[in-house]
Amino acid sequence: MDQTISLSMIAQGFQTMFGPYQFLFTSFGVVVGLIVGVIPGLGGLIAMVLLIPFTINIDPTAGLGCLIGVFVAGCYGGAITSITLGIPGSPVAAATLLDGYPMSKSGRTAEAIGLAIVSSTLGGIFSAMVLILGAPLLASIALRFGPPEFFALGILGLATISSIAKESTLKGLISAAFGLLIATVGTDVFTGNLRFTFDNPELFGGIPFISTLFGIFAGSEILIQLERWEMIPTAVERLRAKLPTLKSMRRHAKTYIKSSVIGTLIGTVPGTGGVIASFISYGEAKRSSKHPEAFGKGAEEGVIASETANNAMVGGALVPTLALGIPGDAASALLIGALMLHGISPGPRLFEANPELVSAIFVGFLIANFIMLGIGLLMCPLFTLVLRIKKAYLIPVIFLLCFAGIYGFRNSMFDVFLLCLFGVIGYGMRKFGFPLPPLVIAQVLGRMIEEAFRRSLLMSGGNPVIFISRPIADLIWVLVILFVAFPYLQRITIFKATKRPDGTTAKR
Amino acid sequence: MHLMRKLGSNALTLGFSLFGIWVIWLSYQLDVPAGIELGFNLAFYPRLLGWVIFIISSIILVEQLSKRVEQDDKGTQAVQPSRNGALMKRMGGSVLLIIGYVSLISIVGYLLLTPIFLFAFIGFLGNKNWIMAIIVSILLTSVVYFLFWILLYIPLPEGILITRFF
Repeated sequence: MDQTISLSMIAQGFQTMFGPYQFLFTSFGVVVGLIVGVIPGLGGLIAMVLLIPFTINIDPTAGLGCLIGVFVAGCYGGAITSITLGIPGSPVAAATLLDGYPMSKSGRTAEAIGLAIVSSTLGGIFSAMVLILGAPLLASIALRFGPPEFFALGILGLATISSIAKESTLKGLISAAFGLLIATVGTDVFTGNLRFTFDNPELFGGIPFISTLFGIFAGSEILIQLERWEMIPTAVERLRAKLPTLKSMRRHAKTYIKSSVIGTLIGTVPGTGGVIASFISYGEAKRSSKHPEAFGKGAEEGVIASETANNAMVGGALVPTLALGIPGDAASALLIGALMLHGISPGPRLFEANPELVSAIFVGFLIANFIMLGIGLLMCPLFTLVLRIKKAYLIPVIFLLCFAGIYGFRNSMFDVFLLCLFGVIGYGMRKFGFPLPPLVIAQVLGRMIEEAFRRSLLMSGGNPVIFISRPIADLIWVLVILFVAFPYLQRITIFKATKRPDGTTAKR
Repeated sequence: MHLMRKLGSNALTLGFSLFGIWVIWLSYQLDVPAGIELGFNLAFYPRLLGWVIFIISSIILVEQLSKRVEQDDKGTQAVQPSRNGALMKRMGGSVLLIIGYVSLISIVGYLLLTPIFLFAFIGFLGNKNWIMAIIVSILLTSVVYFLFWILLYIPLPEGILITRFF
């Protein structure tokens, strides 16, 4: 079947997403994403987590529009904090700080904010185009995949996100295996028998994704915020944005284009995310600049490169998320989780079964970028107030939203208990360098991976050779090995490079 | 400080190792008919994951224990804790308040308990502006109630006290 999304489908997507309900919720998502993105340390991911309960009971297109709005705006919101306070509002805005903050210190705050919002919008629009063209193509290829390929693909998703873990790939792999185990709790789909439920009826349907999600991200965030109490400066001047002129945009056209391409491409690789995209883009902009010495001292190109790439990454990340059902990062995993809560399975079949929804998501992502531009400019003065919110108010608010969202999901105090439990587990994991995204992604992918694993074994009569006897699966396994081995190969190379003739290693 | 971090990290890794063993043991308790095809064996996949967790966490544990001195020098951790009395008081008190709220909400109910909890929590976290704290507590309780119960039909705990007496 032809998987391309026709122009009429896109037109229908526009019609859907410009419906009052959908447009309102997408705009609401953008506003929340901007506000929470601006608050240091929270970022768009926490905003998405907190908004999921609101999106369950509404129309899927409106709910997803809302989450996409948060996803898009959260990336930009972090830039405001980077520019004004010199601390990244979210990790993806860390590279923006390098030149945004020096610009602000030299009295060019409005200019830096204007550059950030225009760059974010342009990066987002570029990646939306790639998403519309690329995702259906990838989905049509993925339709030829069987269970062994999907199993390998699932493991690839987990291997890539584990391999970029800050401290060690092994810790990332533990986190992923833990997430896969969480997904095994409940009724077994093949036999109908119960597994690890301890006769608790609340666990018969499995551990709800939303409980893990809230606990791991929001619950642990509350504890982390309590720990890092004195870190946020609150004295901020009144903010406004000054848009770049057309002449300036023409001057930096190359940086806009290059950063959009880099951001989108990096976004399509599962596990990479906005931090890597923005730093690579920043590095490339500096390398190819005529004035590399200006970088780090308030170069406009630095802000453009970082902000264009981290928003372009979002569209890129949505390509494997929608086409394969493999999330590129934690935020994409949330989108998949939200789709599942609506009873929709992402992956190549979604393009056949529900093309209206797919086109609505595409268009939703595109218009969320435009809404962000408008609302982002209008809300600038409000950010001054947001940055002044005291933690004494912020932490109880986060907790209350978590509690209400979790309790309301199934009217269950058991889910609230799970929230607290996973909050403590998440806090411990963050504190000791076990990354959280692999856990969440693994829980989302868990059912699919187990099903593919066991279906493959059923196909082969229990012979595990089936996993490596098909060419596409083999290719994916090679990539898995490369991703897992990459940090170790890198370490060996660094060790050899720093080894002195007497056998000792130079300190780096 | 580094010693505390190291102990915590080792304890968590050891916890994962023990968790892996527990999962392997649990997988053997599952009801699996003898001679069943591997694809239908509901214990095989979680057992495999249990082994993966046990083996990898054991490797990390050995790695952490053998690199003791080097890691002490680096002191690299994801989060830098400030170990002082105020921190312990803030975190411990907050956790106790949350436990109290979660334990009592089914009895007292959302509408009665939440403003009191919020006021106590905001005050405990060092806010001295009592009037603002009262306003925020009542406003926040009402906004969340309106959003969840009225707008989205998502119920919040009514409480035994309310349902019994009103």
